[in-house]
Amino acid sequence: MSETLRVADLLAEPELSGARVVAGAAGLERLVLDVAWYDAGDPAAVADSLLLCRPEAVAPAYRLDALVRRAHDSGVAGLLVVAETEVPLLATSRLADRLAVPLVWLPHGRPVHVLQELTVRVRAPELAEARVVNRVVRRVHGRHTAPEILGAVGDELAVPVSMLAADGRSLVGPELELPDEIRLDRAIPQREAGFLVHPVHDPDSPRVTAWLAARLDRPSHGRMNQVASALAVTEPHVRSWLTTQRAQSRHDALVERQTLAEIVAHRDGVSRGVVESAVSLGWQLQQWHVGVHAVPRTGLDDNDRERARARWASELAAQGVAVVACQDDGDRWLAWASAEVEPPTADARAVLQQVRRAAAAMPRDLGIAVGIGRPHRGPGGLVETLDEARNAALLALSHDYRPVVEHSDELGVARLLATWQESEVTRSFAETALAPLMDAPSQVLLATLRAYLECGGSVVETAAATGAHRNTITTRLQQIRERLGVDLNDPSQRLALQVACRSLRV
Amino acid sequence: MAERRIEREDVDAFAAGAALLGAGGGGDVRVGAHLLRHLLAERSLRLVPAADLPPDGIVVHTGAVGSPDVISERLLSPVDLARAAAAVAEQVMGPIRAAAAFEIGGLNALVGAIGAIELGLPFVDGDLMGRAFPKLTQNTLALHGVAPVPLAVASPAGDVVVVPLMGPRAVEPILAGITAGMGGAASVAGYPTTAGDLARLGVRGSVSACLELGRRFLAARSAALPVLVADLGARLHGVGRVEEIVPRHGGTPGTVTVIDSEDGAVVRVDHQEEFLATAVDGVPAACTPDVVAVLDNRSRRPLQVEEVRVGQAVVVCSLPPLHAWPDSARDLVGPTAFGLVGMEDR
Amino acid sequence: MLRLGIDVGGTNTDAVLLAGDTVVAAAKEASSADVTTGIARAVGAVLAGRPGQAREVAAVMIGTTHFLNALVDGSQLAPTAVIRLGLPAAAAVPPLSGWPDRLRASVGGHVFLCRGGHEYDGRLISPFDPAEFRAAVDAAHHAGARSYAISSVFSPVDPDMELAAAQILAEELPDAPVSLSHEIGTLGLLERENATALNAALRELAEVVTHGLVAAVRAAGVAAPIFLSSNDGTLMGVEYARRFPVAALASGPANSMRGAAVLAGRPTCTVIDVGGTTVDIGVLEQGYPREAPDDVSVALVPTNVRMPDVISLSFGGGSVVGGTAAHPTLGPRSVGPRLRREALAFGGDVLTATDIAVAAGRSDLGDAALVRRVPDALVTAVLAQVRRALGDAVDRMRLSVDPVTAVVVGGGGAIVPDDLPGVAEVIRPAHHEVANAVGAAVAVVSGEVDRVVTARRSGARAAVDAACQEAIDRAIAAGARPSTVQVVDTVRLPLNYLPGEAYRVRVKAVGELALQEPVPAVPRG
Repeated sequence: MSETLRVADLLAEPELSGARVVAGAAGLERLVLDVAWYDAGDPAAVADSLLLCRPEAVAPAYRLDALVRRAHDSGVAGLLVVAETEVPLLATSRLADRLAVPLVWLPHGRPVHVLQELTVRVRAPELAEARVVNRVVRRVHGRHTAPEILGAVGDELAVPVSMLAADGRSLVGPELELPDEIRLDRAIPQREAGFLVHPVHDPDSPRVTAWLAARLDRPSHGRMNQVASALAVTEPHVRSWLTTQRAQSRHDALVERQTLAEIVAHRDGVSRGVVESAVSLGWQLQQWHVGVHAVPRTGLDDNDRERARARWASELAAQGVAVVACQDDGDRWLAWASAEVEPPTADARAVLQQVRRAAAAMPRDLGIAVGIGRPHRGPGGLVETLDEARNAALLALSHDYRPVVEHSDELGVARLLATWQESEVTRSFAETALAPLMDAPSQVLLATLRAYLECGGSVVETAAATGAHRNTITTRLQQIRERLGVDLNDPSQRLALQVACRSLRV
Repeated sequence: MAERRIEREDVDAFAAGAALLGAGGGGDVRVGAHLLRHLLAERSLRLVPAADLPPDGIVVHTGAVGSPDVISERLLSPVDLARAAAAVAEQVMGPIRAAAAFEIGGLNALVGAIGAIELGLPFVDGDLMGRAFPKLTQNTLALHGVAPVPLAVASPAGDVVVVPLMGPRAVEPILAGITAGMGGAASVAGYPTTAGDLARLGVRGSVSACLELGRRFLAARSAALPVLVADLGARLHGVGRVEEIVPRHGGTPGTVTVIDSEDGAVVRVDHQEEFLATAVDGVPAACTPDVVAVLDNRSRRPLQVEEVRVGQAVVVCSLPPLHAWPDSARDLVGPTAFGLVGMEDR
Repeated sequence: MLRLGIDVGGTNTDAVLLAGDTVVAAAKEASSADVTTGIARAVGAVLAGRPGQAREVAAVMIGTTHFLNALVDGSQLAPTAVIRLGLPAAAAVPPLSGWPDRLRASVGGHVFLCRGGHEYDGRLISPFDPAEFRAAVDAAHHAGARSYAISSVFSPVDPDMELAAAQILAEELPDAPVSLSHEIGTLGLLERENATALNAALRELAEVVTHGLVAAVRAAGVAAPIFLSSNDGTLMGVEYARRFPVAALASGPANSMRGAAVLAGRPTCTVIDVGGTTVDIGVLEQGYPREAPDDVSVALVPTNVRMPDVISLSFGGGSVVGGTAAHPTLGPRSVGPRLRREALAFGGDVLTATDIAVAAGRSDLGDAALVRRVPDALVTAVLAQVRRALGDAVDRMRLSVDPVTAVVVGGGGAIVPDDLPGVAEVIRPAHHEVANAVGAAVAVVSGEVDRVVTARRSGARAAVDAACQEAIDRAIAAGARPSTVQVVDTVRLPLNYLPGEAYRVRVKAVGELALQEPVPAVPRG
């Protein structure tokens, strides 16, 4: 193999992690044909070599100055100094810059070991690759979680390794901007422009469930081979972790569902065993609870639904909802938040907003409809708030836009509206009042008005609910005002319009 | 040949030459110049080559040892020099025919002359180093196995210590101990030598050379730099600004880094008590016993090692040594004597 | 709140009124032989037509060349006795040796050596002998000495002996001014002693000058506190200046540089001050002039007084131009203050550097028609020579290889070209002709400590800390607002070749002047 290695390529080697180029960066692209030991003699026979210097050879500091000069005259590719504290003289740095002799400082390292490894790397890249694989296997042994495994591998390779979801999003490690040439729909190892990906297969099916990925700043051939091999030997370990993870989470979900079922069945009269199991799940049954009942669209497969559920839980948490549990219950997700003291009524509005924002942050094609229950206390209260949440969700489902959130506190008015909207009088009022928005091109305005009224007149929430920018909503509302000739700030006019909007849909 | 004398008008040139030959060490010549000027107000000093003296006539060397800061405060005392010389004369049991300077670089060039004036003796046109060195024993006599004894040290308080005998390695610690006891600086007399030996083994004509160097320096000081350098017979290594100073530490030499403002060359000057060597772009350009000098480019004044400041505009140049040191002197006055290794690798 | 800056030069007295860094009014008047008249005229001019402003002045800052002129002329100096304590050491070079004969004669040449002094580590060289000292004082007094300078060996390490001597002088001659070397200089006996002797010789003049300055300012209706500019451009109170006139020898260069920097709004710059006869070039770093690296000779006397680093070139706006286009000459002869009578552009018959600037169209002084006959080739050659000389000087002063900003001030500034080598930008600020007075007005207050400490007395770090605190205290005592005082310079130099730890510690602290709002005049009813 006739690989052309340059000084900068060697800097990417794990042995040189922590090394820094103190001077002579202009010479980093010099070819390295060998690695040699500097023994204070004349370095004439070491042209095109990387010269390794021990601290003794370059102390006192002015000796390095002379060495830089002679290295330059002998055509040395670069100087690698393994020394802890002493930094070169300014004179030396300036000289190295002037002569473009790369001066690399390695603060920690055993010189003999570094020399051996780099020599193998330069002279026998295949052997170097085998040694990397060997070390990676040893390093991942006894590590069980993906972060641990990837951390150890990254450490060994001196390059961060990520685990990406099937869609390329990072699950562990840094995000990577994969180039288009890398096709995540093809379940094979790929490399392109310094990027390497290796598929992790689903434990239960032949599908790709995740990717191991890394990016090299200096994608030399040998180094890419090293990393590719390392990813390949790492993959089974990650797959094994995924299997365990999945089994564990299935078990946990089962326990959660059973416990909740017990609570629903016995309310405040739950048995001691159920309480213990609840405590072990971290549920504070005696506290105040607020239920959140979410229904995604139907037709999701189990994997997608499970991923969406986890996302829902994390979006709720991200919005500040203190989610205790978020269970998958067939085609819906039951979640609740608990608090030690009774939440003040004013909080209902805040919770509604938090949940609305969380719903808006979910992928739109999930078509999520959400209901929120009022705060209730104790195990019975938990059942009650979840019931209320379910009812609110049912009402929410009746709307023809997504995402949608209803709060049971508002259900009184909502029910009233639901009655009105069925009357003929209301419908004809609606047709008259909304006539300026009834033609096909105005459907966007009508949808905006509807969302605006359902969101309680908040532009911000309307924007979140419709996926449009705030300024767009404001502009549209202005058009609506002009066409309908109504004052949207007047609560009674808003109510009349909301009734009209709802009746139109029936 | 007309008798040569040092007059009051010669003091500036003598001091300037001594400062150059001090190579950044050897103490500040200014205190000595004050005193010498004062002493030469009413008389002058006869300068004689050692060869012109009776070959068996005894010559004693005088000088100052210790901290330049102490000397700048307590000044020098010609009386102390005379007392030390008298103590040496008493030991050798003979009349002294002439006085000489230990070293022609730095303060001690002037102190040698002051000693001669105070003793009323002619001043030998020569010295033992041909420049300044930090140790009393880094000289041409030591190269031939001659010890500085009997040696006498005198303090302003009137104390005199006579050392009849000491081995070469003991000289520095013993001298340091005595000097500390005398308040950090003292007058010293030693190396009583016959004029014949001195004519054979010493550095000949160095006082005249120093005066001539100083005269040329003063004449060309304000001239264009190439003119000054050529007139001094010096080699120019760089003109630029001091970018970094790494002070000497223990036995490890320090360095001054100058970036040449003309061509960007990196000029490194290694030093201990004196400037010892210089390298341009990593290539050794001059090294002890050559006299490496650093001048302030504003005033063209030769700088002492500790006077150099970061950002200062300086001239780095070197003068050939006044003495042709043999190869055998390497370990005594060459770079290795100062802990500088690898200077002669090429 | 207004500040009044006054610069008393040999030829002109300038005054400026500043609100913050903004020049409200400026005036230039001829200096007078007496202290007061010129100042009164300049202050009067700057306050003219502004009734009530005299009361709004919160501080008056004065830079003066009185003291330096007195030394250069050898006039108005007090007969001075210099008494050195150090026998049996330090005897070989008596005090005042090496002084120019005329100056030595002007101060009387009364010198005495007495027993005393310390070693570097605080041990005694010999004990102080009061009887011997009294005898010396007696002899000096009878010889006509009126001012006394005391120096003691290693007094920067231990000032006790000088203080004891001062005590005796106070008993014997209660009215005689006494100058102590440890209050004036640092290590280096001769230089410290020289500065102390100069100070002593100036003490009587200092009385006259400070009285005159105060009187002139008060006569102009200004009641604000008065400060004098010191050599480094910082301020000192009148009382301090009365005791240490040597600190106010040469505030001109520092004031000119600081004033230029403020007028140009560039705290770090190279200042080119073009006078009639010379060009002074200095550099400022963050508003402070760089100090000269070498010891400074004052009136040919070597001292260790600290001064700004300035290169002076021997040509200026009034320099006489001669020679041919191939070999032009410029200076050192100058028409000086007679520029407006003798220069070609003003109808005279001498070709000056200013005429060259006018001929080149760089200056609108005088009448351009009168210089039309000057050959173009000569104009070009002279300008090239000026450019080369200035470029070389700027280069020698530069702090780094980066291009500098040059600020041009002074009456002859038109001869400075805009394209100096190594200069990124040439700024010619408004009011540049009164830069000195502006520099005086914007000056800060400083406190300084320069002494030798030995480990025997205290740990090195503790000693530096103590010196810092003392420098801060001194700055506050000198009138700085405590919250603005900071240490700007700390130097710790080990003394070479000495056993144990002995250090020279030098600390400088500066702060803004604590100005009080002037008390509004109470209306009379």
